[in-house]
Amino acid sequence: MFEALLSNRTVGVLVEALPRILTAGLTMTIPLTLLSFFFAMLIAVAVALVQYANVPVLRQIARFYIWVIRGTPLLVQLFIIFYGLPSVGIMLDAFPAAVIAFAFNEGAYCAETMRGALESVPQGQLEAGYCVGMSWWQIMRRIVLPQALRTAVPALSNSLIGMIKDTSLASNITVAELFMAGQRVAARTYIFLPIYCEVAVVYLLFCTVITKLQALLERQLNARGFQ
Amino acid sequence: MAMLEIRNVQKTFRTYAKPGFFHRPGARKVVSELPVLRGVDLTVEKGDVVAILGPSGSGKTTLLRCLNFLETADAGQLVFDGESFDLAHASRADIARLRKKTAFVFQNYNLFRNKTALQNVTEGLIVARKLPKEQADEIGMKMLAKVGLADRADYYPRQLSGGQQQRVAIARALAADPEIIYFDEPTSALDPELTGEVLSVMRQLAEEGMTMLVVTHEMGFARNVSSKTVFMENGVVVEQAPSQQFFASPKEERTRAFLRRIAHTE
Repeated sequence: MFEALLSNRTVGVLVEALPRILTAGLTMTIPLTLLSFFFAMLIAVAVALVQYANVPVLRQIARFYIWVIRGTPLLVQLFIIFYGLPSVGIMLDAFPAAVIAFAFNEGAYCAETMRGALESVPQGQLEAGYCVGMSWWQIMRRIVLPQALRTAVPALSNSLIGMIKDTSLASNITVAELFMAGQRVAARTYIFLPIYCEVAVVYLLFCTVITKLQALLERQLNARGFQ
Repeated sequence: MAMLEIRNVQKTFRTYAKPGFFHRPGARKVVSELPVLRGVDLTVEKGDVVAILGPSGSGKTTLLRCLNFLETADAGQLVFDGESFDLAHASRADIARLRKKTAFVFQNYNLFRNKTALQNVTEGLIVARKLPKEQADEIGMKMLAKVGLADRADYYPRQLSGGQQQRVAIARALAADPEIIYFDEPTSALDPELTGEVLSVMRQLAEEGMTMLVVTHEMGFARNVSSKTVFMENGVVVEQAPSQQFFASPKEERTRAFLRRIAHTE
């Protein structure tokens, strides 16, 4: 049974497919992940701050946004943005559509992570800031947010790793990313198990790199006095 | 004219029923009420070191926090350098202006955890007072030297002992060149062997003529360092007198009972 899996032909296809899969990963999956995560973080910090500061109407909007995004499947959100919005006149290319969907989706989850991290910063940090004459916004920017971000690093790394893998869903809206590159080879050669295993290994490789980077980042932050 | 005069400060802690999704702000239902300040009057002259004593729950800390708007009083007036502030309805600008003239030292230090000792001292100077960094650093190092921690300038709070952290907090308070420093039980979170280093810094400030309002449980400090002692109980000032007189011949029975209780435990 295993001879059939790793015949000469199979090995040849695997070797030939690897550069395609890697290229798709490096030119599509990684940029898609990093761009989406960057925007997701902006959304998350804004949405978390609005709730932390208890801004009347914005707070309700933030809760509504989180409720809707977390309560609907990512795949459906992708389809709504790419296939649905054109019928109301909003045409987006596949890549920007995917960035928007992933950013808004991940933003909702990371907003909750950030809100928890903000609330874990002791109230005394704010009070001390007020007493040396700082404004609320100055205290947020220089004291509370840096501490909250440090607390949130492990959870945010989780989200980033999750997102790398979720980008495979973008193949459904024609983004030629890592998974689609594998799919194409499999469909052409009828070699499924080895190819999809190869795809899995490449994802595993990317996630391992991110995990190492996370450990490096935490060590750097610890050296700068963050606990 | 007195430097700081407070009149009729009142504050009640209230817990409210959980608000519904839509509610009018003033329409929340009060679940429980706890009056903590029932009309406190106090006068502090320039150069005074005032110790506020009292059993826990007497409202000492709340009073101090109201004076710096960390809590909003329900009523009360504060006159600072001849300028009057309404403790219940002060504008943001008024609060900012008042805070620039005062400093606060907390029971649990509240040093910025992501800043070094020096950065803790200079943060307010650079961000709030817009001093250039070099000038702020110069002041910061001077203040750290004053509390005996110049060699710890680059340490983060978690690398310092409690006593050292509190001394950095005092350096931070001094850096703003305040007219008065409020101390909220500055030694209560410290191990007994560490209270001495903080108290000696405070004694030094008192000798230099710094105006201080100190909520404390340190009888030795109240008796030997403070110029005036105030005794609070149940949200009111029961007795206030020059410290020597206060300890030598307390007038009120409640004060005498408190001092007897303390004497037993010391």
